[in-house]
Amino acid sequence: MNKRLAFLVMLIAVTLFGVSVASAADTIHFAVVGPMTGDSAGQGIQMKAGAQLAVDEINAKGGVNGKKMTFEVADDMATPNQAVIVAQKLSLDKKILFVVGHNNSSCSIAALPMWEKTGVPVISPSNTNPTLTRLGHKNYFRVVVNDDIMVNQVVKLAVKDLQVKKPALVWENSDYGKGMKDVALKALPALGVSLVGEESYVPGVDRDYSAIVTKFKGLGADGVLFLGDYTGAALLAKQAKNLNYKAKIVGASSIAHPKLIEIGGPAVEGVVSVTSFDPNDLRPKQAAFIKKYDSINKEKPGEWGAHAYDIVYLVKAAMEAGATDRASLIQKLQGGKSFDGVTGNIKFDKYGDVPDKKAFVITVKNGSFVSYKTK
Amino acid sequence: MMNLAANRKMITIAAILAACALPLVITDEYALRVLNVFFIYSVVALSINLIVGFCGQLDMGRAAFMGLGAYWSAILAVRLHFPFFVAFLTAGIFAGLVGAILGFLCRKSSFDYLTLITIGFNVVCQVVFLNWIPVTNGAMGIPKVPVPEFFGFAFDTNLRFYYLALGFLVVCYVLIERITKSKLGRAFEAIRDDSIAASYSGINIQNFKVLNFAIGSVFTGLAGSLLVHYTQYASPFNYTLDESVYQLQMAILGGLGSLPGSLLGTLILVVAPEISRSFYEYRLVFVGFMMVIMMIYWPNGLLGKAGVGERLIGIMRFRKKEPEEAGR
Amino acid sequence: MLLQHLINGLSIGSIYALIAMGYNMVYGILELLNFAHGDVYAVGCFAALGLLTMGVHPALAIMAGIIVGFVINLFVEKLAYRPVRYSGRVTPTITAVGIAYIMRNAILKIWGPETFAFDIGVRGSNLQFGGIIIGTLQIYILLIAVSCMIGITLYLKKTKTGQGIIAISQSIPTAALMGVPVNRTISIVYGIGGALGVIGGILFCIYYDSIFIGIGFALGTIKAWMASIIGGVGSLKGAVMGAIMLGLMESMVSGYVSTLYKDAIVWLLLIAFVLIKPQGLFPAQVAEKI
Repeated sequence: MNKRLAFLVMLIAVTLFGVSVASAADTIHFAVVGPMTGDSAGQGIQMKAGAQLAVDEINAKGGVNGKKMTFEVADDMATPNQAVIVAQKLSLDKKILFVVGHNNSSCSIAALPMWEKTGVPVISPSNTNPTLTRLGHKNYFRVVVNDDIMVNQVVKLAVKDLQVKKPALVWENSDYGKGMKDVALKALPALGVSLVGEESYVPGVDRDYSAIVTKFKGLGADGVLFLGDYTGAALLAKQAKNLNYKAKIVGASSIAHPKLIEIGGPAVEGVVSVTSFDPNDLRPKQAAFIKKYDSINKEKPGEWGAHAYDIVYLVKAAMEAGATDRASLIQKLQGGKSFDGVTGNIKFDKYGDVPDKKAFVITVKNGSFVSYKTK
Repeated sequence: MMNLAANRKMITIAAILAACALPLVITDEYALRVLNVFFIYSVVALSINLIVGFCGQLDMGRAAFMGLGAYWSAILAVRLHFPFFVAFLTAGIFAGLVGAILGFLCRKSSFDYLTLITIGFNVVCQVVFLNWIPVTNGAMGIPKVPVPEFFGFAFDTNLRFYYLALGFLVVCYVLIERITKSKLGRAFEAIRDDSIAASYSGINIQNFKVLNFAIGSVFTGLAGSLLVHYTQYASPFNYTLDESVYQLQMAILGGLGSLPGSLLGTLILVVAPEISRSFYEYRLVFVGFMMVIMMIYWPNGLLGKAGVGERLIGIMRFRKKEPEEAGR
Repeated sequence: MLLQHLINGLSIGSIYALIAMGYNMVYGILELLNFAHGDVYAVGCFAALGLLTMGVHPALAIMAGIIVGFVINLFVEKLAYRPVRYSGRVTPTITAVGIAYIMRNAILKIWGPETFAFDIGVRGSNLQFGGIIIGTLQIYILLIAVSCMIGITLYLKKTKTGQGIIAISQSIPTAALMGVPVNRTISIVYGIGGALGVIGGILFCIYYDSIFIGIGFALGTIKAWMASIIGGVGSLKGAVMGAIMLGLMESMVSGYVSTLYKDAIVWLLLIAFVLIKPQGLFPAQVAEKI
C-alpha cells in the first residue's frame, strides 16, 4: 500500500513538474542537446562549453537586440529512445527558440519528427551522415561539412596527393563510420582505384588492431583510409609501426584532435587528415577563439565546441536580420546570407547542408598539427 | 485472510481507475510520454522479475529480446506492410520462440553459464542488428515505423497511446500474476529456492526453466514491439548491454519476487531522472549503491528464500512455503 | 601471415591472462561471479595514472596502484560480499554489479570517459625472424604472466595461508572447523585478486600506451570471465591457457573471417564451447560444490 502511495505521489510530482513556467520575453532561450553522460559525454560537454562561451560573449556585449541569451542542457545519452523523450519535453516548451544538437546521427533521426511537430529549428554541430538532410525535415540544419564532401576529399587526397595505388579502408562500426564508408566505396572507383581490403572496429571497445595491420600488410596496401575516431587512429598507427607496416594513413575530421598526437606519439607523424576545424588554426579570429576556449576549459576545442560556438552566433545574426520566432528563424536560416564563423563560411542550401564550407587538410609534423598543402 | 484479499482487490481496481483518470489531471504531453514509456518498461521489468525473481535465472541480456521484438515488428510493419496487431503479436511469439530455443540450449547450464550466455546473446544480437544491413538497415536503423492502429483507429497521440500502454500493462500484469500464483509459478519458485528438492517433488527442472524463459521472452518481445511503434524508430543503439543492466535494476530496485515492486522500481528509474536534474546526474552511482544496499538489508523476495548459502554452513533454513512444496 | 596472426593472438592472450588469473582465483575459490573485478582494478590503474601525471616515478606509481587495488578489494569484500556470502548465487552477483557501477561512475566523475595516454617510458623493441615480428614488450608480458602464475601456485602450495585458501575452496564449514580463519583468508584472496588485476590492467595500458574506462568492464571482467570458462574455473593454469586461447581466437577471427562480426563469432564460439564442455579445458582439481 505504501508503494502505491509513493506511486501516486510520484505521479503528482510529474504533473507539477510538467506544467511549464511562463516564458520571460526579455531573454532568448535555447537548448543544447547531446550526450552529457556515458562514453561520448566528452563531445556533449564540448558542445555545452562552446555554446556557453558564445553566450557569455554575446551577453557581455549587450545581448541580441537588447535581449540576453540563456540556454539549458539536456542529455540524450546517445540513445535514440532517450532522444525522443528529450525532444518531447523541450519541443513543447515555448521558451525554447532553437536547439543545438543532436550529436549522434541516430538520435537526430529518432527525434527530428518530434521537433518538427512544433517547428523547432534543430541545428547540429556534428551530424555528418549524408542521408540526414535528405529525410525531408524542413527544420533541420547542420553547420558541419557532411561526409559526402568530407570523404570525397579524403579519397582525393589519398589518391591524387599521396599517390596511394592500393588503398585499404578501416571504418568504425557506428552510424558515423558506416556513412563515411559508403561514400568512400563510391568515390574510389570514380578515381580509378579499387580497394584491396576493408575492415571495421568497434569504437570505444577495440584496442587491438594488429590483426588488421597484419592483414593489410599481407595484401600490400600502401595507404590506409581511416574513417573513425582519434583513439582508433592513434593505436592503429602505433601498432602499424610496431609491425613495420609503413602505409600512409589518411583520415577524416574526427581524427584531427590533439589527443591523436598525445596517444599516438611519434607513430602518428605524417598522418594526414581532412578536417572541418583545426585546433591549431593560426588565423587571428580562430586563434583568439581557441585561446579563449582553452583558458576557460583547460582544453583546446574540437569541432563540437567550435561548431556549437558558431551556431549561437549564427542564430544571433539571423535574429538581428529580423527573425523573431521559430518559424521566422527557420526562414532566415534557409534563405540567409552567408555567415563567417570560426569554422568557416556557413550558408545553408535547400536541404540544410553547408555545401560551400571548405574542409581543410592538416598533417602531423614534429608532434603537432600543421596545414598540408594539397595539389 | 479474506479481508486482506478483498482489500487487495479493491486497491488494485482503485489504482487502475485512478490510472485511467490520470490524463484528466496530467495534460502535459511530455509527462504523458514519460508515463507511456514507464508503462512499457514496467512490462519489461515484470518479465525480468518472472525470470530472475521467480525462477532464479540471472538473465543479463533482456535488451536483446526487446530488440528482437522491436526489429521483428518494425520490419514486418515497415517493409512488409503488415498491420500493427499482426506485427505486434508475432513479435511476442518470435521473441518467445527465440527465448525457448536459447533456454533449451542452456537448460543444463549452471547459474553462471546462463548469465554468461545471456550476456553473449545480447552482444551477438546487437552485432547482428548493427551489421545485417539488408534487413535491419544497420546503424541507420529503421525510421518511420507506423503508430499502432486497430481497424482504422490510430493511437497517434500521447493520450491515445496512454490507454493502449496502460491496457497493455494491466493485461500483462494480470497474466504474469496469474502465472506466478499458479502451479507453474510455484514450480518456478521451488526451482529457485532449492532445485534438488524441487526435482524430488516431481518437477522437471529443465523443462520448467525453458518454459519460464520462453514466457518471460514473450512479454519482453511484446514490450519491445510496442515501444518501437511508439518511438517510431528502431535503432541498434537502444538494445545494448548497459540497457539490459538498467532494466535488471528496475526489477531489483522494487524487490525481486514482488510484482508491485517491479512497477515501483521502474517508476523510480524511468520517472525520477526526468524530474530531478541531480538525481539524473548521479543515477548510475545511485543504482550502484542501491543494488548493494538492497541485497544486504532488504532482500525480501530473494534472500530469505535462497538456498545455496545455507547448505554451505549446514544449517537447515526456515522455509515459509514448506507446506506447498511438500504437497507436490 | 598465419604465423604473424598467431604471434598477435599470443600477445593479446598474455595480457588477458594476467587479468584472468586474479579473476579466476576469486571465482574458483568463492564461486562468486565477480562483476566488479574489472572496475575495481580500473580504479587502481587510474590511481596510477593520476600519480604519473603528478610526476611520481613510474615504479612508485605502479606500486601505489597495486596497493590501491588490493585495499579497495579488501573493503569491497568486507562491505558488499561478506554480508551476502551465504545468500545463494543471485544476491552476491547483484551486489557485485552494484559495486561495478559505483567504481565505474566514480572513475567517470573524476577522469571522464576519454582515452588518456599512459606513458611510463618503457619502449619495447622488435625482434624480427624472417617476416615475423615479435615485440620484446610482448615477451616480457608473457614472462610476467607465467611468473605470477608460478608464484601464486607456490604460495598456495607452500604457505600456511595458501593451504587455508585451498581448504576454503573445498568447503568453508570444514575449513572453519579445522581452524582456518575464514574471513581473513577470504579477504586475502580478494586482495590478491585485486592486486593481480591491477598488474594486468597496468600492463594492458603500457602495451597499448593508453588508458580508458573500458579496461574495466569490457576488456577486464568480460574477457577474464570468458578466459576462465574456456580454461576451467578455479585453475590458474586454466586461466592462463584460456586467456591465450581467447587471444588466438580473436586474432584468427579478425584475421581470417571478419572484423565486422568478430565479437559475435567469438561469443558464439564461446557459447557453443560452454554448452559442449562446461567444465573447461583444464578443470581445477577440486571437488565440485554445487
